[in-house]
Amino acid sequence: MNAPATHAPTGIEIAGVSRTFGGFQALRDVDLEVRPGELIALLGPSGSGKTTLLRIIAGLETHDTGSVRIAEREATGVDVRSRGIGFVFQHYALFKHMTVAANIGFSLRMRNAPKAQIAEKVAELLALFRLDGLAARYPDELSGGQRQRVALARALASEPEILLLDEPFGALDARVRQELRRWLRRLHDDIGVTTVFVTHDQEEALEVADRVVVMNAGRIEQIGTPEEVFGNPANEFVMTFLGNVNVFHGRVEEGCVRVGGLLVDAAGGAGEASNRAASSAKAYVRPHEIDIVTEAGDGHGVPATVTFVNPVGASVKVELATSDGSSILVELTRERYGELNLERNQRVYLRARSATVFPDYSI
Amino acid sequence: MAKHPRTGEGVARPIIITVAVGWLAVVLALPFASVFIAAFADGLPAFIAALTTPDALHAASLTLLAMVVALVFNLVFGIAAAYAVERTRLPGRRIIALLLDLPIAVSPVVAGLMFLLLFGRQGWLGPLLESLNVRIVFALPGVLLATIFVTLPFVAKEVIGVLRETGPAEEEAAATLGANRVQTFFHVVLPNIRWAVFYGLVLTAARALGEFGAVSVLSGNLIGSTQTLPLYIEQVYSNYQTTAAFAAAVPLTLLAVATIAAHKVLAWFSSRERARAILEEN
Repeated sequence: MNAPATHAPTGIEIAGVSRTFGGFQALRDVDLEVRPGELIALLGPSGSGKTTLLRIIAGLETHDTGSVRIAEREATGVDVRSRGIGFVFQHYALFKHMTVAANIGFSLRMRNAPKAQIAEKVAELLALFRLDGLAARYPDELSGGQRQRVALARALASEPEILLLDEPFGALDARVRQELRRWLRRLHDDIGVTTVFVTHDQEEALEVADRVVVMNAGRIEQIGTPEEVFGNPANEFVMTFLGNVNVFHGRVEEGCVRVGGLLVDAAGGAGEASNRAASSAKAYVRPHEIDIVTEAGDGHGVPATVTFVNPVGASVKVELATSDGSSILVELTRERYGELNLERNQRVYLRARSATVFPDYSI
Repeated sequence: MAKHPRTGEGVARPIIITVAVGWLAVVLALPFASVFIAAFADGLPAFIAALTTPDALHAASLTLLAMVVALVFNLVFGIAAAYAVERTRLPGRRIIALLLDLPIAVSPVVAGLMFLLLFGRQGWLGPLLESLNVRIVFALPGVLLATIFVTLPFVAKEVIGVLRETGPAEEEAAATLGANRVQTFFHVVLPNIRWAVFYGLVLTAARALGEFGAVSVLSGNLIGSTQTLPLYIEQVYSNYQTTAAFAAAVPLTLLAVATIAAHKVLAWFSSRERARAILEEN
């Protein structure tokens, strides 16, 4: 208690954690190390186990097997109250019948801190979280963003060693969400508390986190920096979950993948694909990594027909259909779009600047 | 005054109003008034004399005792049962929730007979109770048991509804903020369920005061001993002591009115809170 604000941050080590609810396996043998002072995102679709993992770290949920260590001490069996965590719930779970000040001071009151100390801490947090003047309000008299900040202030009042957030921005509208996530990043940089947050929004995870943990069906698919998981996805799930991506089916030839007339270099898992002697492969190409040309030229390029152009936004989005009927999304810069002068139903050729290739065992 | 947009000035309106008011007068207002008229038919002294006979006073105090016991029991059991059903993984909690409907579904007379079968002299547990020299049937415990049985669902079901609606998030939040179970209950759970508890207690009080069927079977209706106020009223009325019967009916009627008033006030408070909760959702 009364840990100095400058104490060394705490890490979390999770090893071999599994959890089954009835017949549903929410977590399967999960290993994860959260480094001290890190801001980490658990990213995945609903049902991927990310919230269960967060609640297990908090002690709100138990795990069937494996171990959870917080600050190098086994936390399994340790009560929620003694884990030194702060938790921000998805819908904030503010105490409806308490004022903002009473909500924020709750943890200190429960520990019988002196009144003067509580008042001082509450005033400090009200200022830090830009809630001045709202101390006497009730939660239902606040906006969504204000409630979110009260929930954060309340969770941080007892100076926890670990901050856990469950979909912290999920219930907010898009503009407030943008603003708050940048603010959360700055807050984390200021106070340096080890932070784990759960989200299903890849943009949010990539923008805010130091490292992203991509989860699917109770397993961790990949752990890495935003650049690593976005630029070098470990598998098809990570590739498709993080942003828009186009799929081309092709054949493996001497370390390259041939898709129609397009020859893709053996980036990503293609080497592995040829090693395993898979004759087919899937090439994943991000929309901004495809160029459109109007002439076939040297013969490299997949023929396609323009079906839709959306010129609104920082880049121009073009939808095309290939000869096998699959739909392709391309993002062009405004300059490139200006040069091409595309029209609907125009015949063009697609060229990929880079692609990530995975062996295709489905054929 | 603004005209109703749909009925306008047609003939239907006065007819509907006459029928509605007439019906309410016949079914509610007149019977209600008749209690007071009959009670005071022989004047105030006769009314007071009828109310202060030893039997009437005993019946009234027994009824109040049964009510207080039912209130205390339901306050504790109702909250505990609701918490067990909604917030624990207790095996059989669904069955508890189902059983709570039983006292509402079963006729009070049948309920009384069930206990008679269980605790009566010829009942399953009769010999055991007799050997222990414990009397339940035709004694005070029987009256209390019957009252508790018929009032069992009121607090529990109200609180279950509110606990289900609010969900466990606030309690989990309290735990992450260092509150122990006792602190969580008094600081977080109780403020959320307080209107439901009061509301359930009001219903309990009303039912405890008015219960006839189960009590009449289990108590044996022993005058000056196990006779409650409703039983007393029925008995003196059967003996053609009309004034005494109606005089005793007056306090019950007034308590019923007080219950409805309390009910309305609580409904207003809790609906205001619910409205705030709904606004908060959006």
